[in-house]
Amino acid sequence: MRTSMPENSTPLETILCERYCFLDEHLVSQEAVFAFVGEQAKQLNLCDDSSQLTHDLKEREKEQTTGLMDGIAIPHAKSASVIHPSIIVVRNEFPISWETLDGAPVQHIFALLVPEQQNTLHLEILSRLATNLLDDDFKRRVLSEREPHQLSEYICKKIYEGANK
Amino acid sequence: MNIVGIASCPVGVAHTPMAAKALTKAGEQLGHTMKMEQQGGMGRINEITAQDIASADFLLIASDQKIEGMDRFEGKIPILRVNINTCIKAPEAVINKCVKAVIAKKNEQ
Repeated sequence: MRTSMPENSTPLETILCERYCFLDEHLVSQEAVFAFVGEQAKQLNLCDDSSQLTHDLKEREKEQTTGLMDGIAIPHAKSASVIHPSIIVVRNEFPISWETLDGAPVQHIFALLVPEQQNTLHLEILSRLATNLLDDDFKRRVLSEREPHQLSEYICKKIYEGANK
Repeated sequence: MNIVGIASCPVGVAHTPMAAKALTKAGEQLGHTMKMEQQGGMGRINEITAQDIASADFLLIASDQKIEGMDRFEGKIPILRVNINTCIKAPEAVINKCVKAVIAKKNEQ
């Protein structure tokens, strides 16, 4: 496994930055969440076909739920429409019905956008977000942080730290 | 016990490393030696070797899908399969249950 980040590039900022964080949404359903992610990804130039991405997110969800515990879900899809790997964070003002491991509805969504072609380092970064969500301190912080800039910076920092473990 | 395992899920980016991490952490906390292979978006990570198999008590498959390289294990050690989400949600319970089942099977023979 790679344990170092390339020196002159800033891969983390292209994967997650404050513009990818939407922290006070009012989406009414899981379907609305997938449509929202597709839309925003297109507007942010992270994907070139919002309906394709939305469809791929739905299909992956059908295979196996991405609802976890404590109101968190990590919808993700490997999609031909994804231009480069990225994370879109959505926090909803109210809980949304979602099939989860602990039965609780979802309010914190970390959507992982994965391109079809393999790029190990980027996939590793997305994986680190997922595994960090198993850690109580990380979870507590990302669930409560209200500022997009602080949140994206914190997540990037923890993911980068994971590179050196 | 010495436990080897393989975690695998469709995209292989999130659930796979999560299950691997959760099971490793839980297993070690329970006093077992754990080695978790991942099969997913990044190919095979931490591949289980013949040496690992020789000293292992059983294989735990954290997955509902087809696993590659199963011939490594045929006829060697007991194989148990558990849904990957269950492994993320309740890794200690999964390990305890598997250990119990393996011991019970051994006592039968």
